[in-house]
Amino acid sequence: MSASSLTQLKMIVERVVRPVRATMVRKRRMREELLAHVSAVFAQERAKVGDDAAALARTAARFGDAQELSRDLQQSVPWIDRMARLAGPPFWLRRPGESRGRFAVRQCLQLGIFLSWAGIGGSLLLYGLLFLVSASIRQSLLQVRDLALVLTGAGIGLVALILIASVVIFLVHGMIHALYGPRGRSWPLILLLGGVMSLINVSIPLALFGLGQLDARTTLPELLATLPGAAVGGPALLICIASVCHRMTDGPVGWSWRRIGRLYAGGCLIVAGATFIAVLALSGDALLGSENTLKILLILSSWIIPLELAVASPRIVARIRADREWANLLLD
Amino acid sequence: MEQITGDKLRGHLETIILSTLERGEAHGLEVRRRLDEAGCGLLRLKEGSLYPALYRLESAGEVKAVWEAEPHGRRGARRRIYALTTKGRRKLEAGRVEWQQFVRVLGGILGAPA
Repeated sequence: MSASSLTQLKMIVERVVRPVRATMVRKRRMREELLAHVSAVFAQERAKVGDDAAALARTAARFGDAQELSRDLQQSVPWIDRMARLAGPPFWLRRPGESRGRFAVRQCLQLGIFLSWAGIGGSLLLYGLLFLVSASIRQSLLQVRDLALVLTGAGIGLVALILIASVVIFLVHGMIHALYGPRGRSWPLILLLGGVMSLINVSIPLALFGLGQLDARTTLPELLATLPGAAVGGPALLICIASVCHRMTDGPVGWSWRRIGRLYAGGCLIVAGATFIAVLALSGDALLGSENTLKILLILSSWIIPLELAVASPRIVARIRADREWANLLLD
Repeated sequence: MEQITGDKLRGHLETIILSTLERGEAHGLEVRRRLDEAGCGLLRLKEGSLYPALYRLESAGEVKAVWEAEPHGRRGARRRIYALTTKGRRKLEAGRVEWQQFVRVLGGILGAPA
């Protein structure tokens, strides 16, 4: 079968599957199974008529009307799957012809929906647990008059989380553009975005301290000692996420473990060196410097190691790339 | 004889699929081939419509499906093999009884008893 015929067969399938509102996992299953079916039908028809174009037309006719099949497929999706789609994490694939900015806005909206669901669900679960515990120990753990205050606090926290996550999404897209844009690497943009990330990472603990939301025992010198780590760690994490996103979809299929190890060790050395020197300069306390350096390395590693493991898995990368291929099919 | 199209099959498709799977596990195309064979080529069903019915049956626990071990075709699209479950067998038996009653009642009304 030629590549062009395969693309045409995928288009027959995608016309049916794309409009279906279901989770990615279910749609992936539908696509693969339906593609196997139309490929077999195409092979039968090709053997009969001996011509690809005629065989494709006959395959499409045998398969049925796309709109009708989409409707039927939609009806076969269980309600729980439809709900899971709404509560699912943001869709990470760019649509055909979609600009990076528009893609980022769509991701922010989807992330907002996901976080809202997760936040509301989590709060309800917590409230339910508190209610059950209160009932079992016959003592109220949460006063009704406190409930409005707790819910308002949770709502503000949720909105702040969505805002911060949206800013991070835009920064990641900007960093991907700065690192791997069509016009090559742009150092001014890398520095600018890294600087913005640093500023955000430093402002959050300061703002929380100012609002009295940090641990009451935290003193100002201790807080100041954590800032260099936050300032260096933010851009490091941003670059790592941008690199992983690029390698998942467009970049070279995989990096050798030696290269990842070298980059990881180099990155850790830069972050550790910068953090230690800055804390030492601010506080003059080498022990505090070592403690904060270790903390920031642990935080970064807890993000970077799972991300690198995901991108090193050929199965995950192949799946994401296949999803992207389907998403990029242009349907008339 | 006149061909039997999708509209006339609506409402019976799931029972028909269950009956084809009674002969043994099969993937979608094989289900269609068995239908063709049993219907003497008179059943005219859009092949895509088999899958929503199979998914509904799977969600209801009346069939179970597993991916075939070897990919089918050049680019590795795999097929799923469907098999009847105990619940599906019960549903098929109930479907047969319902069909016999339907034919008896309509046959009586139309003056063409089965």
